[in-house]
Amino acid sequence: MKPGVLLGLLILATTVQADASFFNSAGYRDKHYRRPTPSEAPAGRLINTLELAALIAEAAPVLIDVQAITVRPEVEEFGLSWLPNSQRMHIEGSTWLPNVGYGELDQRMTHFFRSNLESLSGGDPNRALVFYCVVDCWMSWNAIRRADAWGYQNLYWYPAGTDGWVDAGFPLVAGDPAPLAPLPEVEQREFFQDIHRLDLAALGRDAAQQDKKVLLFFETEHCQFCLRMRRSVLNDRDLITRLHDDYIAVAIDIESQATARDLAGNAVPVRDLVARDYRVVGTPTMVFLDADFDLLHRHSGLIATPREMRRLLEFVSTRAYEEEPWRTFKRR
Amino acid sequence: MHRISWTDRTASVLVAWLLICRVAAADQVFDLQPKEVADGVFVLEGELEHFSFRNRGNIVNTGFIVGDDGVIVIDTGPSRLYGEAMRQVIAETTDKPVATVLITHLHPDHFLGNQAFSDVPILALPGTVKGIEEQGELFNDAMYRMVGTWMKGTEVRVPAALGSESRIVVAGRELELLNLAGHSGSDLAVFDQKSGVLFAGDLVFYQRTPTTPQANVSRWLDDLAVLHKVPFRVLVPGHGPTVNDRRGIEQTALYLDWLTTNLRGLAESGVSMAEALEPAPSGAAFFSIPVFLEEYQRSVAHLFPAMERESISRGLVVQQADE
Repeated sequence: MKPGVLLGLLILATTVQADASFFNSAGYRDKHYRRPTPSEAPAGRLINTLELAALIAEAAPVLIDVQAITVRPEVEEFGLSWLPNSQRMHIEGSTWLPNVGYGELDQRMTHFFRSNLESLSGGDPNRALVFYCVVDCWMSWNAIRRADAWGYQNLYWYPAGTDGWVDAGFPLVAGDPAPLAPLPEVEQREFFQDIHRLDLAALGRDAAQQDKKVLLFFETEHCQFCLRMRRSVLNDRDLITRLHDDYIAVAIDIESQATARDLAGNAVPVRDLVARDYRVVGTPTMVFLDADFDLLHRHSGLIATPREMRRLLEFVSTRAYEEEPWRTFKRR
Repeated sequence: MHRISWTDRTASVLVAWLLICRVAAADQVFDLQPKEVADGVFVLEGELEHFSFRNRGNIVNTGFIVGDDGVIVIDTGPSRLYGEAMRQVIAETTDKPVATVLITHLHPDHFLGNQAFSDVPILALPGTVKGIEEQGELFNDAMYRMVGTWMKGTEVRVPAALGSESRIVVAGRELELLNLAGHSGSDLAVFDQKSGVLFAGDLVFYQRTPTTPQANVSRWLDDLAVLHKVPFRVLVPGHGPTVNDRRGIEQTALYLDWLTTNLRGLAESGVSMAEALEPAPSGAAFFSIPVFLEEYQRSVAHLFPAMERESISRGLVVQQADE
């Protein structure tokens, strides 16, 4: 074969322009967290090692290390806890708030970050806060952006992180992650207003008075999907808040031997109510009713996440069920 | 190091001094020693290890050929800092400019130094280009996890695709390009006819146990037979020392043959994957090759499930129902 001449096919290697896809719709970096970082801070001021050293000497800022570590996911059974795989060394005087720089924070991590910022700043939005992790780490970029969104006004981003600090010959000290606390009890609200459990007439009056819809959640004690929904969906704080804006929700055990009151105020066995009035044959079943107890929508089966449950509430409140089935709606 | 007192007004002067010391040291992140393996052909040999913070990711062989009016670079190493150090070594070795870069395959230790060569053409086989487009970012994630701060500044730069020609002329040098696939799905070997040097990429491991995460072993053995026929005088493996004979090819082939024969035999006799993790005495000749046990066990994970499925589907092993 005749040797080809290379010159003809020389094209400069292309740069990956995938950057936009590294961010979520809220503008937070949500993948490839270890990469070169921008030369400008997303909020506050970018500082180098010299500037941080001077800032520490002159202004005693709050130093916040956001280096990520593994968190045990078995929230309900064992309590949330950190699982560091090696000793973290960071700048002396820092508070280590792991994982607050992920692209998306669940309500527990949001609470962890917010409450720690409140106590570290003493509630003063002008308190100097410095965010860092390691070199080429977008976690601190996300964290400072979040602090800015929460109204903190004196923010510093130190992208060189502990690597830059130690490169300059400064010492690091061993650090431990700030403890994870459960969500405060006072903010916990129940999904169900069980006071109405067995009196549909009273429930109907309240719903009409408050102009709210009604959600009947049919379950049994041994229904695993029901238990799972109570454990990991119906206890979601944001979901509960949203639900209470629009609904009065009641849980009904379909195997209950008790007597209930139907809408007309008559005493009837719960099992009659279940079979005769709402035709429930399996659990979990959710029946959505308007304030007049007219049926809006019925959903049978597991809703696996708070997000999916919010989507279902949206499906009902926008009456999307008149246009298309839940199966296709939930995927969009 | 003594603790710096932050109330000390001289702190910033001290800081400046420390920074200057560190900047001087940064040039020596990689101590790359070019070895001239033939006239005007140089190899930078990496450690015979896995990636680690300690070895800074430098576990790979890269090389360069000084042609008539330019330099041809073979692979750019595991990181931006490595690529920059390599570029500096080239500049200290010759006044000729870098003409082009050839990337042998998609694995991260071979192309993540590309940023240091962004002013010249970087070329690879089309399969390698596609592989880097699809997997490059994940490889970079993994490298940051394993190597940490030494990856500083590293971003993926996807090479441009070579055409289908099996010979090219660059910087006055006629290079034979061997389009192979056994190690990673798309593997380029480069034979420099003038010097007689064959850059085998990761198709050849010598005195360093081969890796198989994306290997097609029977194809790889065919590729080694192709390389065996190349009339080279010097063989540069992707990992391990350069040799002047076919030892590297033979060792890689012997190992891959033992690995697959042994594992297939185990699969056909109904041995479980957990049991297969203990290397059989028949492989004793390979036990002393660096990182043998780690690579062998990784290879069990890579190769054994398919062999197990095949043995069952051919009726050689009866799958037992769970009690």
